[in-house]
Amino acid sequence: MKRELAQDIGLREGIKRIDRGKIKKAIDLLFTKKAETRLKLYTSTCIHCGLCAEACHFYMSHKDPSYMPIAKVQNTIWKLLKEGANVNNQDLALIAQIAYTECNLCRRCSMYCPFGIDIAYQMAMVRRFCHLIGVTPQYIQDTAHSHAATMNQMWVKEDEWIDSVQWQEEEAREELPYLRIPLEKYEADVFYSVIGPEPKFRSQLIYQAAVIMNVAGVNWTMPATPGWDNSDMAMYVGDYELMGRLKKIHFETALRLKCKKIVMGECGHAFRSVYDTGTRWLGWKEPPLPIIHAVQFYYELFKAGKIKVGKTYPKKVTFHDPCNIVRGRGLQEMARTVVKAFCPDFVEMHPNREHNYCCSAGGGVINCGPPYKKTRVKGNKVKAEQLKRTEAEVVIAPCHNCHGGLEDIIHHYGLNMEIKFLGDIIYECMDKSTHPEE
Amino acid sequence: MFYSIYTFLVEEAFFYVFSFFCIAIIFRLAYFTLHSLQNDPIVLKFFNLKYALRSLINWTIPFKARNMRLNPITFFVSYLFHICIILVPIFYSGHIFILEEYIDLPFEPPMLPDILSDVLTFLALVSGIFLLLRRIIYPPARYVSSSKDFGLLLLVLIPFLTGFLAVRGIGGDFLLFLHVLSAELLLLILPFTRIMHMFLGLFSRSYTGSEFGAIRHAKDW
Amino acid sequence: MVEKKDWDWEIESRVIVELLDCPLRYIWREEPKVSPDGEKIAFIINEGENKFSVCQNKTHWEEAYDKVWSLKYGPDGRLSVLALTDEGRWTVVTEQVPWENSFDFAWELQFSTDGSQIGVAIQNEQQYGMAVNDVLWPTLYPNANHFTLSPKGNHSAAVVQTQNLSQGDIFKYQEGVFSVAIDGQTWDTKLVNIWTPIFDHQGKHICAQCRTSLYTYTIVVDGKVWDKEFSSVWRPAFNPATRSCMAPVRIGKKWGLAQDGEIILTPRFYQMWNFIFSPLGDSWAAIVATDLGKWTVCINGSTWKTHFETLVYDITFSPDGQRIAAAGKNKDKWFVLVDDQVWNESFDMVFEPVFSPDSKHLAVKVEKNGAYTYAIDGKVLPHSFDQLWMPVFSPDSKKILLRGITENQYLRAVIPVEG
Ligand code: SF4
Ligand code: SF4
Repeated sequence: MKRELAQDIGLREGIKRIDRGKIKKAIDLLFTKKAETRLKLYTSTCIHCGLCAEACHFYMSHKDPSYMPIAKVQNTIWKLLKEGANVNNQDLALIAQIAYTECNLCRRCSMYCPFGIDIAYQMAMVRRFCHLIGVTPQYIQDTAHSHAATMNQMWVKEDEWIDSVQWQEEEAREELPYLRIPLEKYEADVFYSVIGPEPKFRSQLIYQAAVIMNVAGVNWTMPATPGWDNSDMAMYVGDYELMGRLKKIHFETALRLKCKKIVMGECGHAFRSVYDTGTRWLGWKEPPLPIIHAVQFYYELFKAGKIKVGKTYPKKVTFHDPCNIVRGRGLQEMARTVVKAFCPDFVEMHPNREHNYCCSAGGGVINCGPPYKKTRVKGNKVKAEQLKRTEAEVVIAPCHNCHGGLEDIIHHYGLNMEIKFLGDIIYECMDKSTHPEE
Repeated sequence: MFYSIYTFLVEEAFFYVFSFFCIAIIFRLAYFTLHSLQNDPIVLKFFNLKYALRSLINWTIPFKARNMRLNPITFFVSYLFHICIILVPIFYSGHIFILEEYIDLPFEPPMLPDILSDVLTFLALVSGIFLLLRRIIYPPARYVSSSKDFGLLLLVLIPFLTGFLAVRGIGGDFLLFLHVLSAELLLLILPFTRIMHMFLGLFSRSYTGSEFGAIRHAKDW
Repeated sequence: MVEKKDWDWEIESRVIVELLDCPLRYIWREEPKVSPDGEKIAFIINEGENKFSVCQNKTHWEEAYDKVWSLKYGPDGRLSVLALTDEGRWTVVTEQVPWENSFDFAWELQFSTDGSQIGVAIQNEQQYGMAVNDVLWPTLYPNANHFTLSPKGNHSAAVVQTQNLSQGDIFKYQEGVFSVAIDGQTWDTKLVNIWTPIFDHQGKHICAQCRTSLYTYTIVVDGKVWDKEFSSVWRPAFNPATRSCMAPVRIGKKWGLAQDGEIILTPRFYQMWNFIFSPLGDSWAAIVATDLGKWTVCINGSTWKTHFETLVYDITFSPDGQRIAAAGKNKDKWFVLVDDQVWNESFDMVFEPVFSPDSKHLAVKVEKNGAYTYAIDGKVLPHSFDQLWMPVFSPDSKKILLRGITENQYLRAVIPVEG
């Protein structure tokens, strides 16, 4: 394995401050004495066959075995099992680098290993280890810090959140004079939550969501308090205690407003955290309120005739299946129903649905920031080729991370494609004449 | 002398070895189950029989899983290998005759025709060698293979090789002796090696199948 | 302020506003709010030309603003909003009277228990703090969260960031830059994180959850951190009688309870949170999960037999501390849970239970098939409403004030409590 240690003070400073006792404790806790059964099971079951290699876009792009799923386990967990607390600092930093930036926790490899060995779970355990010993990439750590301090991912201050929602409401009124974004509306059917970057960088998405909600006549609300952000980089940094804290405030905000269900914007990782990972950590076997991803929500509105096609989308489109809502929730057909209704010129990319390749930004990788941009873009040549083969002009990706990831890939490989959210298409093409006028 | 050791190995030793083998496997499986109760309750809580079976079935149907279609030769050979190494030791007529000498079986045990046993043993060897070569030639497999992996595979092949030759009268009693010895050795260490994947693999597949099916509403093949 | 005992507890049912459409032209009307005594109902209205105002019992406020939000009746029945003035500044307007102070932004409008003190979170020139009854904190901070007014309203507090952090300065953050500011004055203690500062009844003390490193959680009381550290903690509470502080804490993977830094309930729960004391401080209760997906209530260390799969929420003590009620949920059905008994009927939503002052009766707002009603002592009222506010017991526990909207009429009714 040839890897340069990235210019990342999180890792470089992290190993300087390292405490050997902590390493030993963390290894005992996660990999040996107190290890979870799954970890032991996977370690004992894996037959070192390498059949998972072709599952991973990193391997498929580099054709370098050190990027295949099991190699990542070999170079992290097995190394720690072998060397214990004596593992050297440089290796520790590389272990972190592998776990945080060379695996998107996309779980594609679970579908390729004959035994269904979950590499993503194991990489998440390595991240947990790195969190416990304090060797984490700077950018994603900063995001986790923001989560802890503000309960959102982007250091958005409480007034900034309210202000940007009110501002989007005002903007959208230019288009639909009766449009409202009801803040703090009790007993609404839908509690709509978004991720931190929306108010910060992509506030037009709040605008569009508001237009869709208003046209469809949905009884909805957004909170004016922390708890509005459903995202969760704590989960990806390995800080599960913080993850639980974030999920608790998110759920309790919806419960405080006595809403019937939570609808989440087009984000994959947040969905994984809210409906599954974080919920489970808190002791719920199922979420306390129904959790509906935007894709499913749009599908349901469409099926109920609440959003109608006003005009069809003129360009040739393809659809990228975000891991966390397709391999993570089976929303592939719902998404296609809506996409096909609006976009007559639709082509599949191959492989697709559960077998689609990850965007290489997910799993917190893009959140590790610029030092790793090259890793994830170069590590996803296979995605670029897959996109290119479709000859589509537009790729629809209903996930924030996918957007970031695909954008970089499209740019780097010189593909001439636009990226859209499903909401972008619906907003653009839906029949808005049904907007109620009082 | 060979002969007395041979009879010892075939008679008493085999009984102990085989019992040990069974108990060790049960023990290992029980360990994982109990361990999960204690340390990883999620596994049993989220276990879902329907989806576990769905996953197991779909991975048993030849070439159903996408990865099987991507790697048809490897999967075909692996299937073959597994079928051979399971069928022959159990249903080879010679083994059953020996067994019948010591135990009164209340039923007519099914047996493989000798010619089939021969063919299967041969196939086991060929496919085993293929897997060995694959480990050397296919970079991902080579990358993750350790000397243990090669050693284990060889260890599995030895009883088949010795058996195959012995049946042909090659190597005389010594080979027969070697055959029994290597087979028993294999039974002894098997529960503590990767070969446990034959059992543990069912566990991990079932769990992954449960999560994919019940929670994630997705296929896992 | 009219005392609760002097509210109209006699007339059975009285329509307050007949046709809920306000007389003047408006573009739209937002969600109504009603006064505690039920005599008033108010809406934010959009008057057109980007002007907003308030309509109360069919009367408009004289002033209109560029934006109005956060319409709330205080406990004393006074109506307040946050409003954006012509100068582009936000202020608090109570009963049509704006504060002298105005701010770059204002939010989190809150009241003391008697309603006499009104607090609000504010931002001026990117500096954060609070203002109470038109008095602004002397010092503001680069950021602040968890804005809290004491029950009496005599003090206000927030978790503040004491210094600027440059982007991505993860190491400085981990040295601790957060503190609690009370009336603008911070503790000397700086911690990695602080959450949910809670005032005691007198407003003299504050306890809060905190993190002393990324891995060590504990409770901080008046700037002093407990000696013991935990793998996590949840919101603490002051015992109203003894002023000792208790909080759910996590050791390893299990939750238990600690009091003033000492474990008093050995961690054994999968989850334990939303800890509360009885009004007299002689009992405590918390929501617990005895196992994954097995939720119940734990009182003074013993758990109830009834379990819910999906959720237990809104636990409430009776005034005498002898009874406890909560909402429970299995799949999408909600139930009322009281003293380990579940009321027969299931609902689409169950709201926070309300005990009578004598602790004998329990009234709960519930929703079924899109309509709201009350369930009182297990019996569901025959009438249902399009909108309904929380039940209020009369001081003698004999009557319940109902405030609801049906057929476009807002009415208040007084219903006798049986038995
Ligand atoms: S990126 Fe996806 S396919 Fe690759 S190792 Fe990680 S989880 Fe497996
Ligand atoms: S994880 Fe599965 S596919 Fe990969 S080497 Fe191990 S057994 Fe083979």
